[in-house]
Formats: sequence, structure tokens, C-alpha cells
Amino acid sequence: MCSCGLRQLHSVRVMGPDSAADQTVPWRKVLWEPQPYPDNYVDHHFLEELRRNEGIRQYRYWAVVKEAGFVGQQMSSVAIFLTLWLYMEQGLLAPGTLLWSSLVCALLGYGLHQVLTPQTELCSHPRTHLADLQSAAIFLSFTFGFSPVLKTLTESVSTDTVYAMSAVMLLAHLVAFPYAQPSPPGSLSLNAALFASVCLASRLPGSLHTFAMLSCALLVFALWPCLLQRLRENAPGHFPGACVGVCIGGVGGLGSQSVGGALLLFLALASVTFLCPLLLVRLQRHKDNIHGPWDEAEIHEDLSRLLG
Amino acid sequence: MSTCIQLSHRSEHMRSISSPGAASSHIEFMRKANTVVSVLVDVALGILLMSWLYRDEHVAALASALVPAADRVATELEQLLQWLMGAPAGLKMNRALDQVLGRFFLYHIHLWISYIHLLSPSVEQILWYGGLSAGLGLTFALSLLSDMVALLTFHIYCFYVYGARLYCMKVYGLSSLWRLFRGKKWNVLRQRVDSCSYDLDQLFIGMLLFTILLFLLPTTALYYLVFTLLRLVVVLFQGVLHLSVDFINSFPLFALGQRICQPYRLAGTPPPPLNWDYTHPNRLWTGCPTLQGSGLGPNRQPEPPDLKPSEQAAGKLKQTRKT
Repeated sequence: MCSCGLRQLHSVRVMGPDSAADQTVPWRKVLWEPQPYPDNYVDHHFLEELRRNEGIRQYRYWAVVKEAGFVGQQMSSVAIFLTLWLYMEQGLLAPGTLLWSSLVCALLGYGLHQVLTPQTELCSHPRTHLADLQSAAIFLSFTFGFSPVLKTLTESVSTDTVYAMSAVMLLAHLVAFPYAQPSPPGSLSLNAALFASVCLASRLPGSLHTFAMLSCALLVFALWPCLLQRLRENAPGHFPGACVGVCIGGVGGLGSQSVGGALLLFLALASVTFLCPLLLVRLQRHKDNIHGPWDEAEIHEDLSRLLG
Repeated sequence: MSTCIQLSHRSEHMRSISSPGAASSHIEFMRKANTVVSVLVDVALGILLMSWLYRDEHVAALASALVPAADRVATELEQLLQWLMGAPAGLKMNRALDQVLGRFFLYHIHLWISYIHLLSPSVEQILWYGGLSAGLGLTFALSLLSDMVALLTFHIYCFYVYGARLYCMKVYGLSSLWRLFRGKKWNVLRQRVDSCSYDLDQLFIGMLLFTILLFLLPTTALYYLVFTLLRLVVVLFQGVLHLSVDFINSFPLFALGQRICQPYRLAGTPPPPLNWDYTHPNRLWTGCPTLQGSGLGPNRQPEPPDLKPSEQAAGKLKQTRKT
């Protein structure tokens, strides 16, 4: 009905020398010729160019679960760190023990990292063992030097404030973590995690405790994701096993301290790993995106001809 | 040193007064007359001050009151620092940094008091010779007083400088490390904040320093605030002294006297808009409105020049009607 009215309209508005000859001038989708139609006129072909759900991806449930395992793994690492801190605070874990075990784990992880590196990458980016040793020496010396200062930092701040700050920072760490590419660590997530660990470590009863806690935090938050990324790239069969192992470790460790915490963590892990992918796959059927010629133009430039 | 500034101003005034030849315009004449009168009034007030000072052993009394006053100030400062080293106003301070800063400033005060005690035998002599400068004018005495106050409170100035430097460095470091926290960097070339991918060591050490600076901020800020307020008090007192010196230097007494005694010499066309004398930024413009057109007698009122011809004619008609 609308198009009939429009046709009547433009048949009335046609003016010019040949207006008596043909009633309807066919509308063309051009603007450089004066046409008897208004500029925003469209004819019945318009809606035929509508496309629905063009770029949709078909998710498979178990693939999504495997990727979501990474998120659950990160939450469990945070839980493991908190468990270690709780043990240190209650005096059940000596700082020397923690230091030696961190050192052993670091060496093992380094060895594994070197084993998993493919040959091509070793040739193109040779990072010598000396450079790694230098980095490690810098970390350890700075941490050891600053730990008496760090220990007295939160002396005058109340316990509730410290706990609240650490909780907010660890949450920020989880939210801002680069799950897709964790190998160069994201600044905000790493910094938030280190800030939270400094806040918590300064509550411990000695500067050696602080030093041990900070080394452990470095291991858990900075070095472990790099190793996991290497595992994910080069040994994809073992990656889910590692994630599951970390999750079990987190739940078990937290359970030895407080059952409520372990239960909460288990629920969170289950919902993130199994429930959220299910929701994602199920809700795809309600997706209704429309695309058409009215979309903004996207320019896909091929810059490879400009680069050597 | 405000005494030197005052000396230079006075020498300039003397040069302007003693230049040969009469004044070229009325403004020049008024300026010279104002300068002469203000110098005379200044010297008169100074001689009055001297006569009060050298009579009845006032100098000795002042000298004997000065050193105990400086001691009192130092004791008050020590008490203030002890209060800061405790828990001032219930604020949470970092104990270690508090102790370090407090001890450092206490040692400074101790040095200053030793210096004052070293000078105490010669205070009377200094005051006696300083009082002689009042003979040159009250302004000189006031500027000398301002300089002496500056010397006596030199330790407060030092504290302020230390506190301000420490606080500025801390704020600068904190802002730079906050940018590192978010993963950004200041681009000096483009003068803007850009994203930057840092190395692991840079992130780690930057994070440690950021935490340390952040938790030590309240302590430094408090010391900075306290010493800035102290310095403000001293600066206010010196400001009052300088203001009175400038007032005596530049108040147009001659013009005021003429207005009262001989107003006809000042009558003239409406003055041009006031402009400040930019060569002497502390002085008001001491000229007077120009007197255009000689030959006006004492009792004749000048015609207002901006009436329209029709209104002028109407005015003249009114006058003729009255007569």
C-alpha cells in the first residue's frame, strides 16, 4: 500500500518535457543524476538486501569448555596463593620451606619451558640463559632489599582495609587478565596482583616471610602463565590436564583451611567452566543481528603491499 | 634584601629631584613634589623613631628580649615536631619515615639555636647600628626589620624547602608509576600519554616502588602542609612590612595637600583613564590630570565640551532668560 501511494505521488510529481509520455521513471540507486524522487527514496528491492546473523560462529560445547578451563585455572591459582598466605600467617609454614620449594619449582618450570620451546623460535629469538639469570638476580636482590621497608608499609592501616584492598586488586587481576594471549603479561593484571601480594605480605610477622611471599607471588602470577601458554601452544594434549590439576589443587588447598571457601570456589569453577559455556551455546539461537546496505562501510586495507 | 631595594629606590628619587632644569610638564612637577614631600615625611618619622629608640635604654631592652624570643620559637617548633612524630590528629603515619624526618628537622633546630646563641653577645651592637638607619627614613628601618625577620626565621624557610622538594619528587614519581600501573607511558615527543608494553622486570620493580611511595604519601604530605603553613605566616608578616614601606613611598601627600589647600590649581578637564606606572610596579601613578588650555582664571568654570549644539543653545537660552 505504501509503494502504491508512492507511485501515485511520483506520478503526480513527474515534471518535464516527457511527463505526458511515461508516468513512472524507473528509480535508480544513484545520486549524481537528478531524479524525480526524493534523495532518501527506496523501492521494494530494499528489504531484499537484508541479511540476518551474517558473521555468526557455531560454538561447540566441549571446545568452549576447554577454553573456559583457563579462566577456572586462573581463579584456582589465586586460591592457591591465598592458601599459602593463610598457612604462613598462622605460622604453619616456615618461610625457608616456601623459599626452597619456590626455587625448585622455578627451576623445574624453567626446564620445562626450555624443553617445550620449538626449534624455530630458539633460532629466531635467542634469549640466553645469562639474560634470564640476570633478570632473576635483579628480582631477588630488589625484593630482598626492599622487604624490610615493605613490611612496615601497612602497619598503621587497619586489617579490614588491607583485606578489602587486596580483594579488590585480585578481582581486578582476574578481570583484566589477557586470557587469549597471556605470554607477555598484561600490565594492569600483573600490577594489581603484585599490589595485592605486597599488601598481604606486609601483614606477615617477619621480613623473611615478606620476601618468601613476594617470590611466591612472582612465580604464581608472572611466570606460571607464560609456562601455561607455552604448554597450550606446543603440547595441547596436556593443557586440559594441567588446568584440572591446578583447579583440584586450589579447591583442596582452600578446603584444608576453610570448607566454606572451598565450596564457594568449587561452585564458581563449576559455573564458569560448565554453566557459562552451556548458556553461550544455548543462547546463540536467540541471536538476531541484521545487516544490510545501511551499515557503515568498513575499509579493509591491505597494507602488505606497502611493507617490504 | 629589601633594604637594598629601598636604597635603590631612594637613590632614584634623589636623582629625579636633583635633576637640573624645571619640570617639563605638570605631571613631572607633581611627581617631583610628591617625592620630595614623601621623603621629608619619611625622614621625620624616622627621626621620631630614633628619638624613641635611643632614649631610656630601649635598645638594650629590645636586645635582651630578642634571644629569649628566638629560643621560645625554637621550643615551639620542637614541640610541633614531637607532635608530628606521634600520631597527629589521629592520622595514620608510617612510623619509620616519621622518626627519620622528625629527627632530621630536630637536628636542624638544634644547629640553629647554637648559631643564635653564638650571636647573642653582639645583638645589642647590631641593633644600635641598625637603629641609626632610621635616620634615613622610616622605610629603611622597616625594610631592615623585614630582613632581620627573614634571617631569624631562616630555618623555617629551610624546612619548607626540604618538605616541598620531597613532596614534589614523590608526586612526580607517583604519577609516573601510576601510568606504569595502567600500562601507559608519557610520550615526550607527542606530549601525550601512550600505551606501552613493559618488560617483566620493569613491571615488577615499578610496582614495588609504587606501593612504597603510595603508602608513604600521607606522612610526606602532612610534613609539607605543616611547614608550608609556617612559612605562610612568616611571609604574611613580611608582606605587611613591605606594604607599609610601599605605602609611605608612594602616597601622594603633596597632591592631597594641594587638593585641600589650593584646589583651583588642580581643576581641569576630566582626567584620562588611570594607568599604572609600569616602570615602578610597586608604585601608584603619582601624576595628576593635565590642565589643558592656559588662561583660565580662578573663578571661571570651563565649558563642558561634549554637549550637543542644540543642548548648548538651550543652555545659553536659559542663561539669557535668567539674566
